[in-house]
Parts: sequence; C-alpha cells; structure tokens
Amino acid sequence: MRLGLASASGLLLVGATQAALAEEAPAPPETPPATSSAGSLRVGETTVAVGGFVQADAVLVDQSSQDQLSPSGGEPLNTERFLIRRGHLFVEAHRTFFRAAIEMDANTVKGMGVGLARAELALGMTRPRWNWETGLGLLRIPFGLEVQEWDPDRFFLERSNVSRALFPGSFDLGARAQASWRFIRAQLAVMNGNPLGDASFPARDPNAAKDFVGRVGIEATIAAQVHVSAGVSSLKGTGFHPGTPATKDVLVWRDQNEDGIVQLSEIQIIPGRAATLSQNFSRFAVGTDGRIGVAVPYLGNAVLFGEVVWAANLDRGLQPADPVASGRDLREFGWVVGVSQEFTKWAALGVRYDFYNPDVDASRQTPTVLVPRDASFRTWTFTLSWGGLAHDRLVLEYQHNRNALAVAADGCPTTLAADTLTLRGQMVF
Amino acid sequence: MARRSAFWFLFVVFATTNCGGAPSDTGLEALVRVVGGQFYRGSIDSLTSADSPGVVDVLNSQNVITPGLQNKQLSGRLDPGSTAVSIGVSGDVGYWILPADVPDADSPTQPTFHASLSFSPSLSQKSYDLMVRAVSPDNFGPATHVLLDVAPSLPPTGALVVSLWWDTESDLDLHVVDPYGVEIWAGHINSFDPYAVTPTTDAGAWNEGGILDFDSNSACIIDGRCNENVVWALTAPAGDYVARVDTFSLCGNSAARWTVQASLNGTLMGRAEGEAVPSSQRFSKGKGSGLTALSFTVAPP
Repeated sequence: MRLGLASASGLLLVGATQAALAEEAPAPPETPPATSSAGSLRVGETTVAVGGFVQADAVLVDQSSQDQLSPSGGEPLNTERFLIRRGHLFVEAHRTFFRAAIEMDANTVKGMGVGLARAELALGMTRPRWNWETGLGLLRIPFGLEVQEWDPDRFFLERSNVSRALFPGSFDLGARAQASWRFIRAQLAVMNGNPLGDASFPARDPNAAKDFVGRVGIEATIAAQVHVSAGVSSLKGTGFHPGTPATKDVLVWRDQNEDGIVQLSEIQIIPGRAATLSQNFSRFAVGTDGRIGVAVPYLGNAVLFGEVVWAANLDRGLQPADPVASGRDLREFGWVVGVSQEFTKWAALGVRYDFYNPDVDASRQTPTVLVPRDASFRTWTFTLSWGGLAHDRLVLEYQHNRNALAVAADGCPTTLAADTLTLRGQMVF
Repeated sequence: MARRSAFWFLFVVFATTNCGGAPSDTGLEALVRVVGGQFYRGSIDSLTSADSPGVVDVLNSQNVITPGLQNKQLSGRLDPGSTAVSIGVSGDVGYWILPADVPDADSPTQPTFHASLSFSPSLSQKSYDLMVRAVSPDNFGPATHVLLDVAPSLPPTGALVVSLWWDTESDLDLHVVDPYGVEIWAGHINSFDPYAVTPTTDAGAWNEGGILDFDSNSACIIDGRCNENVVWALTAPAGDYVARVDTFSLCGNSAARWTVQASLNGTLMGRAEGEAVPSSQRFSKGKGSGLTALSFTVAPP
C-alpha cells in the first residue's frame, strides 16, 4: 500500500522509507494517498477514514508584487502576503469492493474560497500481485507524474509550469479505469476536458465530446536501495471555442482633433454583428516521465525525476490555447527535471528546472520583418525543507523565473521580473 | 552541519540568481502613461546618444491637455534602424518603451509608432515637456520635444451655478429645487418648461432653465469626474432654492465626502460639506430623494 502511494504521488522524493523501497508487492494503481495518514473508524462492513492537510504560505519576496490594483480587473497586485494555499478535509469510506470519497478545499488564494476538491465512487479489487479499479466522479487526471502527485507529497511547493498550464487543477470530472499487474501500471480515463483550474469553464463541459487520457508505465524495485518508475502518457480530446452573441449598433464619438467638441466627422457608426458560432477543435498531448529513487547510506533518500510533454491546443491554464481565434494550431512543449537529497531525517535540498513554451511557433512583427518569438517560461526552483520530511515540514523555496512577458528598452521581449521567495508550513493529519 | 550547509546553499543561490528582468510596474506614479508600454524607472532626460537614430516627426493634434485626460493619440515616424520609441515627461519618475510599428507605405524605410497616452489626474504644473526618443538596439536617440499646456478644470460659468463634487468613485446625484418647485436632477435635467403658462416658440428658450450638465458615475459606470453642476446660464429666478445630495450608490466604497456650493454671478452664496455612508444608500431614489445640503435665496434684481 505504501509503495503504491509513493508511486502515485512522488512521495519517494523525500518520504519513502528504505522498507518501502524494498517492498515487492504491487500497489493499487490509484489508492487515495490521503488515507495513509487518516484516522479510520470501522462500522459494520464499512471503514470510514477522515483526514486532511493544511499548507500555509508566507510569500516573503515577489518581484512582481505591487501595492496597486490591476488596471484591468481591479484585483490587488500585491502578492507578498500570508495565505492559506490549501486546506483540505476528506472523508473516505470502504465497503467490500466499493470505495467513496469526498474532499473539500478551503483556501485564500483569491479571497476566501471553499470548494470541492475530489469526489469519487469506485469499484475495485486488490490482490497480492494484481489489482484493478474503476471509478466515476471528480478524479485526478491520469497523465504523467506531476499531475498525479498528492500535494503534501510534492517536495517543491507547486507543480512545474508545463503541468499547471496543460492540466490546471489536476482534477477533472469523468470515469477512470486502472489496473496493475506485478510491475506494470495502466490507467485510462474519459473526462470532460475542463479541469478544476480551467481558465474558461472550470468543472463544466461546453461540448459533448470527451477527452481520452491515459498512462502506461512500470514501477519496480530493481535493487535493495533503488526504486524506479517510468511511463508514457497520452491525451486525445476536443476543445471549445466560444462563439459571441449578437451585438447592437453603436454610435461612437472619437475626438480626433481633441477639441472636446462633437463634430460630424468624428461620429462613427459601428454596425452590430450577428452572433457567431461556437466551434470545437481537436487537441492532444503525449508525454513521458521517469523517476529513480536511491536510499543513500548515512544521508537519506535521493530522487531524480523528469518529465517531457508535447501537446497541441491543450493549454488551459497559463495562456489558454484557442486555434480558432488565432487561426493556427498552438503547439506546446515543456519539460521538467529535478533532483532532491535528504540530509539526515531533518533536512532536504532540492533543485528543479522547468521549461514551458506555450506557442512553439510564436512570432512577432518588427518594423521590417516578422521574426520568431521565444514565448517560453523557464524556472529554476531551489527548495530547502526542514522537519518531518514525509508530510509535516517547513519549506523555504526560491524561484528564479525567466519569461518573455516584458519589453526591453530596444523593443524586444525580455523577462518580466518575477522571482519569489516563499516559506510554507505543512501538516497532514 | 546539515543546517549550516543548507543555509549557505540557499544564500548562494539567492545571491547569484536574483537579477535581471524588466520591472513589474504599472507606472501609475508617472505623470504620463502609455497604453501597452513597458514602464522603466529613471529620467528620460539623461537617455541620449548623439549617433543614434532619431524621431523623424511627431503627429500631435492638441497641445492642451487636462488632468486625467485619457486616450490622447500620439504617432510619428522614426529613423531607419529604430526598433522602439521611448516616451516620457521631462523630470518624471520614469519613461515608457513601446515597440515600433511597421513603416507607412509612403515612407517604407521609416518605422512608425502609435501611442495612446493618458495623464495623471494630479498634474500640477502649467506645462510639461513630453519627450520622445527613438530607440535602436544599442542606444537611445536624441529627444523630440512636445510642449503640453495644462488647461485647468474650471467650474462652469453662468448666472447661477450649483455644484456638487465628491472624493471617491461613487454614484452621487445632485438635486436642485428652484423657486417654482421644479426639481432638476438626472431624471429631469432642465427646469425649462416649454408648455408653461406662457408657451414659447423660441428655439433657444431651453437655455433659460437650470440645466444639469452631467450624471457622473451613473449606475456605477465610473467616468472619473465625480462632479455635477446645475447651471442657469442667463438669469436665475429670484426666490428660495434647495440643493440636495442623493447617494445612489457608493459603488463598493466605504464612504464619499461631498461638497455642495452655490455661486451667483461668481459670488459664493453658500457652501456645505458632508459624508455619504452606506446607510445613506437606503433612501428611495428619484424625484424628491436625497438629503438637504444647502438652502439659499436669490434676491430679485
């Protein structure tokens, strides 16, 4: 069971024990990781587990923070603040072959917010060498490593840019089947295609087409102190371009000579337009991931992991892709690689580099020629963790962000300063 | 040992990587703002290089601006080799960078620029020196100067002017009742009645009434004026007047401090100040609404 949790969530990064590494029994492909620390109560044939976790942040430095309001939305631009990043509470019940779970999230990321984080019904069976489960509800999207990692298990504070852009929120509504046999893992899901963090229609589905997403991989202990997992993931789905309602004729005055007086030549009629049609578009993603964990004598566990994703028209969080509006397919490419090392049971250090380009074919117009534009986001993340490394810990993380969101003095794109230093306290109960 | 190593690791990381990048700065402190431009702190006056491309010409419709003016268009052409343009006010806290646009058809080698400017509501000087510099990959070019004169926001003129202004982006309404009992407000903006006891066929007679000039921040669509006036342009009827302030909505603000003032031929007749608070919004709206702020009498001529 513990090994399965590690597999699904990346607990191996710092938290897997040597005993867990050496365990040989195959794990359930998707056992809810939260149950590992939950208290449980047995009533008749039903076992009920209750638990949760809290992640409280103090953003100490953020170069993009300003004591102003956003000119567009009126939202505060100050990000140097205390906040509850996640406060989860879950209840999970098991009865014979059935499992049901509901998990709520309360946070203050955008003011006080409380919502559903997970809700699922599942039917499954577990045996020493194999298991299977089918489920329905608000489920974790079975793609890659990072998306399937339980938040308290993740050594770094947040997922990489590519993961957050393509799979915002990590959870989507749908049905999922998953199975494992010895060291082989397989997952397949049919989902709405609008995850909880979708920028347009979160947790809804504006079209009838569904996304098919799955992962096939392996997970094995190849030596007494070495554990590896790897897999390939794929997604094939349909996105949605929203149409527009009909508009009325509008009379517009443009004070072209700036004399403050309305003149006939300055009045324009902008004719109304008929409603435009909503359209669907296809999207896909393929990815591969791998991770190796080694228990280093005298120090602790060391973990090296990486993930690469190619996609088209799939960005739903960072720069939502709409090929109908842009007139061309938007190809995304991203990868992440990270390493972490325990230093006794009291501390751990980690470094991660992630790259994400939301539009590989982006270009920009200079005064004389159209030139390619590098729209990529690059982030170095350095993380230091104190305390119980499995779940209860204090984490200090510095992120060095590179992007192409600003304009340099010569008119070329340059990085908009956005480095951050964040302290997080985390406890699982 | 582990803790000490960790501290030094993080210290070195922070010290070596915390660098570079353009600032995230809205530039709202600047006297002039450029829509879509990148704001940089520092004086535009000192940015110069003699051999760099310059500004060919600047197209500017008006040299007179008002505090808080928006969408002032500024365009022009740049010398070949320019990739951007910098725009700022001499002596200001910063300047703006805007990428150059493609050349016009009639001058195919000269990049162009098209800027939409807005100005701070707190312009205090009588005039400002707007500087425009072409930018090439290496340097800033010599400055082209555009002198802008600031026109003060004068109160409207007339025989009798009753004014209301307030300090937050709220929807307050001025109601004025004239000696005949006619109420001028957003729902009845002119006290002139063409079907009165003595009907008139004079096409300009409408100008004899007291007229509300603007319904500011109407329905919380913020226009930034926060000022309304009822003006009798020619003569004001003798008798007793009442000015009321109706708090239609605070538009999410906690309060609005207001001032009502009446002037007869330039002479102050009365002035009152008050504060609209959330409870002020609960009264009925429309004709007859609002709290009495000022009463005054216009003597017969």
